[in-house]
Amino acid sequence: MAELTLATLAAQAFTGLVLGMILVLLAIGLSLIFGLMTVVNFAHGSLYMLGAYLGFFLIGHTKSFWLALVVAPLLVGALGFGIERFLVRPLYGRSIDDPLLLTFGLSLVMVETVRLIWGKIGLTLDPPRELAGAVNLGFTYFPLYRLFVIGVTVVVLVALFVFLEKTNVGLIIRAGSRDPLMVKALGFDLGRVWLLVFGIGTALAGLAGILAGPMRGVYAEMGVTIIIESFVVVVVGGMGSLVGAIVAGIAIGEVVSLTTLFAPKFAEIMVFIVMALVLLVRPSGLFGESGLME
Amino acid sequence: MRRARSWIATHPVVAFLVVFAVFPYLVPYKALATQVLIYGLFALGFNLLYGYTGLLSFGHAAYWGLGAYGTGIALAKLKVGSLWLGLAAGLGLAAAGGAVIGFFCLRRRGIYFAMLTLAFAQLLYFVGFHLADWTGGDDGLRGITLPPLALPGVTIPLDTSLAFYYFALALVATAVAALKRILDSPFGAVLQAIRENSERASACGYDTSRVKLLSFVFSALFAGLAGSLDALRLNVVPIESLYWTTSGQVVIMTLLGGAGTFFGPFVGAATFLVLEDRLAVFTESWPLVVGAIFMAFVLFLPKGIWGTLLARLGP
Amino acid sequence: MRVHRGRPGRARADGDQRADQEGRKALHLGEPVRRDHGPAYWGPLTFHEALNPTITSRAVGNWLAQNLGKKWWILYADYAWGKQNNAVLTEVLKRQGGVLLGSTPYPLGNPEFSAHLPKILAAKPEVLVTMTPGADNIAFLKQAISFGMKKEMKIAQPLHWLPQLKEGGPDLYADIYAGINFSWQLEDAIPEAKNYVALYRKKHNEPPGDYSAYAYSAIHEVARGITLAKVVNSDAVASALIANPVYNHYKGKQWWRACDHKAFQDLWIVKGRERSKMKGEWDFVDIVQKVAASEELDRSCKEKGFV
Repeated sequence: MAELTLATLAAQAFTGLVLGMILVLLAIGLSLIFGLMTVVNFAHGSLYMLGAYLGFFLIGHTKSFWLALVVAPLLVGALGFGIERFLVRPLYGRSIDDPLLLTFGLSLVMVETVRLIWGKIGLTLDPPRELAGAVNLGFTYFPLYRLFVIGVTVVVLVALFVFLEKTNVGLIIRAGSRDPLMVKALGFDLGRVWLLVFGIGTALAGLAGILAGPMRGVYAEMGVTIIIESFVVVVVGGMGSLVGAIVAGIAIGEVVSLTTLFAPKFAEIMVFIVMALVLLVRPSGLFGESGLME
Repeated sequence: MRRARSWIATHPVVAFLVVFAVFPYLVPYKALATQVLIYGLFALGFNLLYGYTGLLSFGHAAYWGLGAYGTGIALAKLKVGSLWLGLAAGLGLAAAGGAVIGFFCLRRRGIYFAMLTLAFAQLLYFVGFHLADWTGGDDGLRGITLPPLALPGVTIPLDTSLAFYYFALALVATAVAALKRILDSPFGAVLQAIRENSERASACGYDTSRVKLLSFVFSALFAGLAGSLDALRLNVVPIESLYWTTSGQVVIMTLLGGAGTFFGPFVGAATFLVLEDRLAVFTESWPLVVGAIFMAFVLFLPKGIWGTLLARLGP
Repeated sequence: MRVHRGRPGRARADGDQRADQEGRKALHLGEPVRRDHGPAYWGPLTFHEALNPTITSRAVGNWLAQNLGKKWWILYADYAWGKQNNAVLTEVLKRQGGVLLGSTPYPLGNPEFSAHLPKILAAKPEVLVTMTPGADNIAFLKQAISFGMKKEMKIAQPLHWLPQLKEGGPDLYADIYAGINFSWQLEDAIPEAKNYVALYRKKHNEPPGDYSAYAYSAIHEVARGITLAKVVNSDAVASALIANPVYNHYKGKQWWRACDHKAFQDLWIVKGRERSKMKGEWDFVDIVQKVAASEELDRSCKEKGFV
């Protein structure tokens, strides 16, 4: 057994941070959509997968990773508009479980469609030349691309925060999460707000996908395991809470990373154990509000 | 027509037996009929919780799997040698799982509840994966021999598909009869009251937590029996029994057939399995078709096939 | 007579000998059950053509210990194939007097390896042996390379697979060592290989891979069995094959061992080629050494539980 130095621990913590960042991007999208619309988007994993595939497609045609990085999430967001408008909105007023069921079906359709178009064998997505290579952080060599992922996520989170806190639209979204009826009564077109939130949430999923692609490969099933991890993050953080999504995302990332270091066989199970423990102690999640669609 | 309908409604078990007695001869091959029977039972259990009590569980694979592994381990590892003991082991394990998981998950409602059921089922999957000495891990649990049916005075071997089918039919029919009893009882009425409005049921003085937990356990029992039967049918228990895709399948079947209706689960199971069987001949992408059909049902035919049929035929 | 090629499906117990509705019994030719178990998994109509983890890892493991280094770290997918290879490699290393610095399982299908890598880097093994099948292989190599591991240690795996070599490309696979049952470059040295590769190229416009070769051989074995038995019947064909166990369809002499119906065959140690050294788009590997077929590489009949 290798000696456990501080350097190894630090390296491990850093890898956990990167794992967490992807989860944060996904969980924020899920939480936004759930917080405002009480819709659980089971297709979130498939949209993450689609982001990676669209990234592959765009890089193939434009030879520019940077362009793909911007455009792929926008395309996924546009699809998100479509999903909200034509698939989820008709279910408004019906059972709260219906959008979950619908998006579950949608995820099956999306995975198979992607397989049909791009084949069943996975694809390779390479980071741009500028981001290949490792950086000496002092305690370990760390891939530059992973540092980039952390950076991008932080920038996006800041932008999101500014958008939600400082703009009028952001204000409406926040108000709509807290009291949709009142917002409607005040005359705002909630439909357009929903469209926007769904688009943003799904775009974030697409971004997570194209960021993860160069790290983990691109294949049709890539959304399948991560959707469940994302649900765990949202439930632990508190459904509807963005701060919760961030804290829980990073926490779960670290849990996975550190468990892998000390007891690799338990890495997968630990995530669920943490979730069960958190929910026993704080039933609404770390930052969730009780009564919010519990 | 109305007379027939009301007769069926009051004698569902007989109607069920009549249809399923001849069912093997109506489908392309006998193994499909047995599958429909078993998955129909699985969906029946799920429907009790979702269609009648209003609780969407996305982790029902757990009880199916517990039933399957319970029976499998009893017969293959512990070598109990008795069909009844094997079934009892599966049922017992499923019920225990239902009680424990139900207790935790029912502390939350709505979407949290669904997510918790999913998470617990996944937890069970990983546990099953790693306890390879008992479960066979990802190789599956093999070597499950099917003991003959020991009844007082006679022993019937079950090694032909037709014999096994009728054995399964007897058990499933018993389950159907049990479900009818449950639904017709005051307990059943409270279940449906909870589905409509849980707070009001509570306000009326019913102990909704206890009722929900009982419903959960019954649901797990039906699902577990189905799992046990499938273990006997296949002679193996694949690890996928516990994976969330199995949970997804039963949700699809129930919705296709009609949640909240008595026979919907069997209609849904038959539709799904026959569709899958026939489509797989034409295309490898049959999940796409099934997924699209499922979405269409959620959007346009939320009552499912049987439910829509019943609604059309009038009250 | 029905013929099943490939892995016995989960729903069908291996060696399933029940006749189907039309009274036909199935002849199974394919990859061995991943736990190379003994009599419980045997059937008179089942023939195990492909290399199993014991043979592969003994062959590759011996070569690695003798040529690349004796301080190893093993990273393996936590399921049957990974676990078996891990067990065999551990035993081989011990017999060769080496040191196992660590052995880490990871969940199969989980493409995120970064959590495992710092620990391995810190341990400084001479050889990192990995069992990362399928998509995991590509994901792992990418991540290992991005953490600079290719420069710090030799990396090896029990097998290379041509479709993956194609997908990952030389940038990933250069300098990665592995065993392989067949590589098309053998056409230069072996007449049967030349014949097979030519036929395959003609039909598919590309060279054959490793597992396609198994299938080719298997179908030829069925044909050979029918020719020998002079009748199309599973039991007769099976007996004929065991009575005449030696064959050679694409790479050299192979034979069936009677007790467990296992095929013994040559295999090769290969190393991934750098892009600049490739002579053509499929020239992914350098053939380093042949490991001749030998029953010593597998467990004996007695060890497997056959009398």
